[in-house]
Order: sequence, then structure tokens, then C-alpha cells
Amino acid sequence: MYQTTANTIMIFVIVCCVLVLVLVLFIAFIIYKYQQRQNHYFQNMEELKIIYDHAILESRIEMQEQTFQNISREIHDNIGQKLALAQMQLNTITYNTVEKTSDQISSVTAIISKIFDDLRDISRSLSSEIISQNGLIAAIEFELLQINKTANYDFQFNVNGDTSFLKDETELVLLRVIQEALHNVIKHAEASKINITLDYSKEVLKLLVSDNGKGFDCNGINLVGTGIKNIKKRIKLLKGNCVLESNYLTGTQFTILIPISL
Amino acid sequence: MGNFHLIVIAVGTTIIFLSFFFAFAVRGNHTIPAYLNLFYYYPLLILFESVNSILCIYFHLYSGFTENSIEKLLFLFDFIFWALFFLAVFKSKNPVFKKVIYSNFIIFLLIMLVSSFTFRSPYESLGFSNMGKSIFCLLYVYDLFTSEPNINLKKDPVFWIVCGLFFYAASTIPIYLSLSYLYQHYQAVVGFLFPITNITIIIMHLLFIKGFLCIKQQRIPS
Repeated sequence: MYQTTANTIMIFVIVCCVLVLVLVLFIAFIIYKYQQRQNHYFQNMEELKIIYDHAILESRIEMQEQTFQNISREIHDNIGQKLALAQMQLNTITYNTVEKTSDQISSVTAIISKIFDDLRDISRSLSSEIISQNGLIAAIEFELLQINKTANYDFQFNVNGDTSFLKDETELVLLRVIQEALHNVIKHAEASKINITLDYSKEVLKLLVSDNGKGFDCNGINLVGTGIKNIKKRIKLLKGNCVLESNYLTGTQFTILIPISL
Repeated sequence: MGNFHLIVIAVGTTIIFLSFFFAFAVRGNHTIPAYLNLFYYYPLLILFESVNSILCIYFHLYSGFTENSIEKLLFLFDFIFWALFFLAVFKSKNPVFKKVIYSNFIIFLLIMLVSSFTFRSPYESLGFSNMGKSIFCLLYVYDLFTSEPNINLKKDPVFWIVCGLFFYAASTIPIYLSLSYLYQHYQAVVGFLFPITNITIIIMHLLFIKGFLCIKQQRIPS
């Protein structure tokens, strides 16, 4: 009787040990497999982060490069010309009569004053201060004002929905995108009307830049060098989406969607 | 074996009581989800089951039929508890999981009800209920390996709770479902198997305690 009970207890203990062993193995297996998956996941995330950081850096360098080009162009085409004119007028001062000399000096002073204004405008246009101080809408309005000083376009700028401030960096990228798009219109489109619309909704900001220019075949054109590639790259960095539509009849339309949470 | 069984029951009841104590201790903690806040109802339910058996077997307060009926009712609540628990766990997950839980719940609830009326013993019903619970646990494991792996399993209370439940539910399915047959033909084996189910319940509650200790450890730094 005693032997039977002892045997039963022995079997009982063995069965329990086996069950516990199975449990321990099961838990260890799940934790091991899960951690393996987790390591792989974190490794992928790290790689994606490096790629993302690299893309941001590339974009920043590209934006900086473009800024330098803008400065160079402005100095050469605008400031340089005006300074040359001022120099020419200073060289032609004859000092014959006080009135004439005074007129010539006044004219040079006016040119230099204009150069100062232009330099201030260029500085504001290139600086990101306007974004942090006044926001994207004010920056776009300023940009349009600047373009209208040198060229005559019929601008339409509309803002729909409840406006909200995005991150400074996001707004700056958007401003540069708009500058790039406007630069493209001025350079290639031969348009008379330019329409910019900002449509704020709860989750998405929709930006529309359209013109009534000559348009082009989106499929046929080589987009490298037109800045469109850069725009697309920048919008991708903001986790947004952009669509370019263009035809010879209605002009070009750039639609950009940006998640508002950015 | 009789004394040994008694020891197992005494140890089991103590562990269940401890499990209740640990689950009750985190009640009212707003940093953890509601399904962990209200988890103490489960050890309480098991304690009721335990008390019900003790009152009937050792104190003969009421008949076996009454005991069985109460057990069947408690097993039903037990299954409903786990269905609600997993619904809460999968609340923000893929809606397909919810559908699977609902359909699994309805199917096994019907099977449990039918088996309650068909069999005299409540353990067939518990066997089917454990089958349903095992499916819930497998669903959890599936989700673990298909969703983003951003949780620390060793410190996740739900993981330990599910491990405990899966161990108990999966290992006792064959025992509970064959209990009536074994009782008729191999009565001695039943006396041997019953303490094994009690041991699995003890281990399950130990894992619950481990899960609740994880919550306590998380609270210390804050």
C-alpha cells in the first residue's frame, strides 16, 4: 500500500516536472523568438533613421546651394547692375555747375538707396526669420510682393480653413518649395496668372500652385534640373505627397498635401 | 494520496489568495489599463469555485447536484471574464481579432451550455471553455508575432497572464474532457489526475503574480 502511494506520488512529481519544463521551454522560446524579431526591427528602424537623416542633410545642402545661387544671381543681375550704374554716374560728374553736380549726386544717392532696399528685401527673402516671426502666410505674401516688384503677374493668394502654425522647419521647407515653384513659373511657363491656395483641414494642409502658362507634357519632359525633383524630395521628407499636372491648354498645377501633425 | 491532495488544495488556495491580493493591490492605478485594474475578480472567482468544492466535499453543506450547478455557473462567468479580458487587450488592434474573439466566444459559449445540460459533471463544460481560452491565447501569440515588436515581454504583465492561462487551459483540456470516461473505467487515475490540474492552476496563478509584480516594478521609478 505504502509502495503504491510512493510510486503514485513519484509519477505525479515527474508529470508535474515535465509540465513545468514544457511551460518554461514555451516561455523561453516565445521570448527568444520575440527578441530576435525585436532586434531585427530595431536594426531596420536604425537603418531607416540613418537614411532619413541622410536625406534631410542632402536636402539641407541642396537648399543651401540654391540659396547661394539666388544670392549670386541677385548680386549679379540686380545689385551689380545698379552699382555699375551708380559708378558710371559718379564717373560722369563734371563739377561744371553746382546744380548739375547736385542733380547727379542725388541720382546716385537714389540708386544707392534702392540698392539698400533691394539688399534688405533679398536678406528677408532668404532668411527664415520671417517664418518664425510671422508664419508661412506672411512669408508667402512677402514673396509675392517681391516678385511683383520686378515682374507683372496677376497673383491670387487664397487661404481656406482654420489656419494653424506648423513647425518652423516644415513651414520653411514649404516656403522654399513655393519659391522653387514660382521660380519655375517665372522662368519657363510664360504665364500671366499665378494662383496659390493654402487649404487647412484638420489633418492635412493642401497647397496648390497653378498658372495659366504654356504647360508641358509631364511624361515627356526631363524633370532633372527643373527643380521639380527637389520639390518632390522635400515633400517626401515631410511625409507628404505631391502631384504635378500640366497640359498645353490650361497650364500647370502643383498639388501638395502635408500632414498637419508635422 | 488523499492527504497529498489536501496539501495541494491548501497550497493552491493560498496561492490563489496571494494572486487575488496582488491583483487587488494594483486596483485604482490609472497608469495601467482597466482590464488589469479589474483583474482581481478572476482569482476571486476561482476562490469561489474552491470554496464551493470544499463546502460540498468536506462539509457536506449541499448536494453534489447543487455543487455541480454552481460550478457550471462559475465556469460560465470564468469564460465570460476571459472573453472580456481579451476583447479589452485587442481593443486598439486589428478589428479582425475582435471578430475572431466574438465568434470564438459565441461558439464555445453554446458548446458549454449544451454540455452543461448533456453531462452531469461540470468538467466537460470547463474542458470546452479551456479550449476557447487556448484559442484566445494563441490569438495573442499570433498578434505578438505580427504586430510591431515594441514591448518588453519580460516586463509585460499581459504576457505573463496569457502564458499562465495558456499553460493551464491547454494542459487540462484532455484531462477535463476525458474525466467522465476515466471516472467510469479507471477511477484510480482520476484521483491522480485531479491534483495535476490543481498544480497547473497553482502555476497559472504564480505567473499571474509574476505579471502583477511587473506592474509594481514599473511603478517604483515614478
